[in-house]
Amino acid sequence: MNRTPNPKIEELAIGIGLRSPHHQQISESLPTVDWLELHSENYFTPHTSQRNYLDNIADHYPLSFHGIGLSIGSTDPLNREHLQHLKVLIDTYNPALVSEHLSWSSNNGRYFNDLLPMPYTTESLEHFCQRVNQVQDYLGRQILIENPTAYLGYLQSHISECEFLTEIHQRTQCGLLLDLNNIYVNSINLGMDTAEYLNTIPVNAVQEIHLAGFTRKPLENGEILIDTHGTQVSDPVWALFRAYRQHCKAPALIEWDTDIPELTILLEEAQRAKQEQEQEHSSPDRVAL
Amino acid sequence: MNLAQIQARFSDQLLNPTDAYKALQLDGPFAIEHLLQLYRNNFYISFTEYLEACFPTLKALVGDEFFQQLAKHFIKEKPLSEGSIERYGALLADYIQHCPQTQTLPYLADICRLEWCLEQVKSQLPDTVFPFNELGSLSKEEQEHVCFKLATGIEIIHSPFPIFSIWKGVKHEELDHIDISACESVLIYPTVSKEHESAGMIMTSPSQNILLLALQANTPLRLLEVNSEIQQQLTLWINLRVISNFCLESPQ
Repeated sequence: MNRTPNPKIEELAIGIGLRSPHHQQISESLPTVDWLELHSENYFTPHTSQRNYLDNIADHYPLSFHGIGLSIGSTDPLNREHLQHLKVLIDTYNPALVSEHLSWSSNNGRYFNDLLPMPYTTESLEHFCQRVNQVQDYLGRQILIENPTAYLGYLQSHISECEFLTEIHQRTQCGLLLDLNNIYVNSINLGMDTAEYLNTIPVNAVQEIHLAGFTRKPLENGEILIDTHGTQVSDPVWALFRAYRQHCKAPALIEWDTDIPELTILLEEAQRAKQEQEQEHSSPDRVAL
Repeated sequence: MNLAQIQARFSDQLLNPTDAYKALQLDGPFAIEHLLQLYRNNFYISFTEYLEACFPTLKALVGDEFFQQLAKHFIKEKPLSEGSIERYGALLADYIQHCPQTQTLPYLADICRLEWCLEQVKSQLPDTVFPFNELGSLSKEEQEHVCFKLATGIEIIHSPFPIFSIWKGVKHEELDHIDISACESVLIYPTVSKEHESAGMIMTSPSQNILLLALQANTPLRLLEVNSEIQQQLTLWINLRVISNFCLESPQ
């Protein structure tokens, strides 16, 4: 059954990730939040309790479908069955946004359930763009591509990540999902320049922002930030958000995937995001990126 | 090295760490072995946590250390072949059945099957309420031709081991006095619950198993030799929504 189209997600709207521990509470109490984002793969199977909750919730909130398993960057053939499931889900609920990652997750038919790093080369760019085109053609709509976190890079890479994403956008007309936590994590781990990154990405391509938390892992001779999405948004990421809000009004999401807290905590984080952006818009002294 | 070769070698490193990672020409803020280990950990930990969540009884029976090892071998030997991990646990029972390390605990595979079915049934929606009024409106003669329909999503497991007693024993920490030579069958069905996911499980007797088989084969009431015991059973299953509907047998 196809549902009526969901409303667009407004500029400056703040959403939260919809996770199964909160299904019942959200379905019953319909808390005040601008929009919800869910992991598409968790809702592929019809006639399940997951889908039943989604049916109820979809009537009350604009939705975004965020994929983690399409493995767009892989050199394996695109998984047609996965795409078909995704298309059916999209055609059923007509979400405002659909997104995936700049990464690969599978090789030779084996899936790793992780977002693995791409080398940023001309070959990778051509391959990734071809795949984004295939996906958009099949789904009959634009998708957004999210910047990843990485703990290492390839010496072969001769294009910066932000230039790579910009090229993908320009060649395929896909939108971009900018995860500010990922940018911050990569800046600490890999020495990426956040200001340069955000200035390179064309603002009009950014249709969604992610805010999330990281954890610190000690390693020999130092520590590395791990993109766990299991804590509150960190102060440096809030600062990035405030600065980026001067330029970009795309809807933002509080993303929390591990150690999922009570719903009230997520709603408080969403409230904080609203306050941060309101502060930014009422502040006469704007900070450059 | 082209993209396909890079991804193949990177994948190899996740499964079998060797010095060959050097050919990938990776770059990072710490020793590359340690950074690759982060990816390797993510891979194994995310799969292991998923298996732990699906198979808590199995884990309790074999202990943490054995479960970790079992999971590691399983993950390595049985690749996930789709972009969603949700159905991956379906492969574990067969793996355990043929795994040399578990041969001394022959009931483990069936416990694993039971937990997997429970996990699957939990996410199923119960069928709609049984149409009592429609059944009541049938004449006595018509009722003889009624075939009861089992609800979608129910699972029936027959085992040469006391799987229900073991599962219950682990849950209540009472594993003494279980007769390991006893055969047991269980019926698992979706339930309506305030909980976000729920399933019911009952042990079934040999006579109940015969009745379930007859229902699965669309046997009409006239051939079931309905006595008070069967009548009680049918009523109970209708109330539990194990039986969700009925139809009339096709005229011969």
